[in-house]
Amino acid sequence: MTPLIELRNIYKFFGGLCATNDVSLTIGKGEVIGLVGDNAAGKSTLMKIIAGVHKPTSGEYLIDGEKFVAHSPRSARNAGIEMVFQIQDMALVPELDVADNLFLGKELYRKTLGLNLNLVLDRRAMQERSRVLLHELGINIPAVTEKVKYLSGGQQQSVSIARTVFFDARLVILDEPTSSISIKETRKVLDLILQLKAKGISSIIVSHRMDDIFTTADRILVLRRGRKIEDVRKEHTSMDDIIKKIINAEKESMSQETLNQPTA
Amino acid sequence: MKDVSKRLAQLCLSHSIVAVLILLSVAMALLSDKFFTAANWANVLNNLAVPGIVALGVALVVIAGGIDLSFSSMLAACAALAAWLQPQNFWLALIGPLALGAALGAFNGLLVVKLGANPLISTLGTQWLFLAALFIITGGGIVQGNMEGPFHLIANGRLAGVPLPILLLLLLAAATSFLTTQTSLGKYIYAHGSNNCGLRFAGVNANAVYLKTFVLMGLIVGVAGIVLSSRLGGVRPTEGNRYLIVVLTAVLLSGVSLNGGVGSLFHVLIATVVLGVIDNGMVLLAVEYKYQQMIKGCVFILAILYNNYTTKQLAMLRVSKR
Repeated sequence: MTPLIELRNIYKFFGGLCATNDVSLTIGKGEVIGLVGDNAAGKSTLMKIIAGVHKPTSGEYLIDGEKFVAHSPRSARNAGIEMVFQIQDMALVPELDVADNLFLGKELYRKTLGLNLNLVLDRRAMQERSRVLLHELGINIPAVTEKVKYLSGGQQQSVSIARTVFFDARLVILDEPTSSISIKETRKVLDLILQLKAKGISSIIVSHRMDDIFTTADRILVLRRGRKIEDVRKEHTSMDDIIKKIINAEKESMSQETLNQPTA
Repeated sequence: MKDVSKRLAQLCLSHSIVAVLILLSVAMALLSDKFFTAANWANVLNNLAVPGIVALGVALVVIAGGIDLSFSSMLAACAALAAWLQPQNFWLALIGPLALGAALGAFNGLLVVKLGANPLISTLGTQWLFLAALFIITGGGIVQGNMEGPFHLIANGRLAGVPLPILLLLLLAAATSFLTTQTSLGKYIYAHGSNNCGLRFAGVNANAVYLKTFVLMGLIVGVAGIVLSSRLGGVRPTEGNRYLIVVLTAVLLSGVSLNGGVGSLFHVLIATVVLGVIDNGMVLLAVEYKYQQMIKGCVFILAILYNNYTTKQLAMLRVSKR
């Protein structure tokens, strides 16, 4: 079966800095990938390459086995790749209500004088469908007519994830989805990711919290200095192993780099 | 039962400006028996037509997260053009000011959207720019139109006993309310003011939305220009300046937030009426001019404080509901 996403020997240079160094990976349909690594390991760059924000310097990017060359966020979204940002650079509109946010840019209209003029919003239909969707995903929100600014961090995060379902996402990229929400709500957001998986939607989760990664991910990738140093199914590893990979690898590289340094 | 009282509290708080109008009207009615007469209300509303219409347009831009201070010069320019065109052709005198308003709005919008200018500063600049251009073109004198004919009727005619400017004001208030609450453009205007990144992220052309808002405001100011021109007959270049404070006060009083994304066009209409009632009330009570200004200032400050208070209370109600 062709994987949903395949990266082959991706390099990305920012001037002389190699942010992504010969990374190859595949993401299957409905697969959840946990992406870990220390700061400056190249997680963000890799995510942004997949989301179409960055164009790789070299290497191949395939979606459904076909070369993806457009490299713009819009074309990535058209291919079904959605990115959910952290709360602080939230993509939701706080002054609009939940239903209006879910349907932002994809509004439903009422018929005007029996014609489809796309003039008058059909708020009732949008609210009804929002209710159904949120219920389906097990998202608990006081009312779909509540302004997003009155929701808690976790509820807001859930709404932004739910929106990707409306956008017919096939791959959802989550950047630190639980970094700024309470423990109780973290559980809900993680459940939501598993719900997406049940719907056959793949996701990439970038997180510093090993618990999050191990509850949701099928496979775990460890990045270090732009290189992929581990790609393992969850069953075949442990939290300690992964943490060691992140830390030990760092030590190795330090010693190697000291060796490689020319003597003055 | 508790739910009902909470709902009632919410309703009162979110429409506080309506409560202000009612209280003010009751107070006025008690103080002066001339207040609640049809003639007096027709007078009050008739005087409000021009600033009321302009305030609707300005409110749209403020809700979208911007501001347009050049409306006073735009209004004078549109009115002057109407006065100049009016003796030549009635229809031209209607289309001309609307087109000019839209063009000036587009100019402001392009400065902000394409060149990334701060709307407060750039429209302060265009306020002078438009005014200076008007002075140069007209030579600084009055642009005189005819004081008769169909154009004269716009501000002085009546339909079913109601002065036409009042009908125009109500019509535009209804139209802009419909736009903001029932259409996607209206929704995007709020979204732009609240978080334009979010709007962009949803795949909406946020810049186009912002630009359209400025053009829309220009069109609305064009309508106000026609009414003003019809009322005055002759237009001086500085004619718009006296509406500057009234319009801004009405917009802020209505609860439209300078941070963008918040406000209701219906409330803008009500706020304009509140200002009109205060003005009218002080005339009826024969308050001296110097004290009139003082009272207006105090009312403005009190209204803003009350507005802040209700916004906070409303937020608390919402939070406790969760």
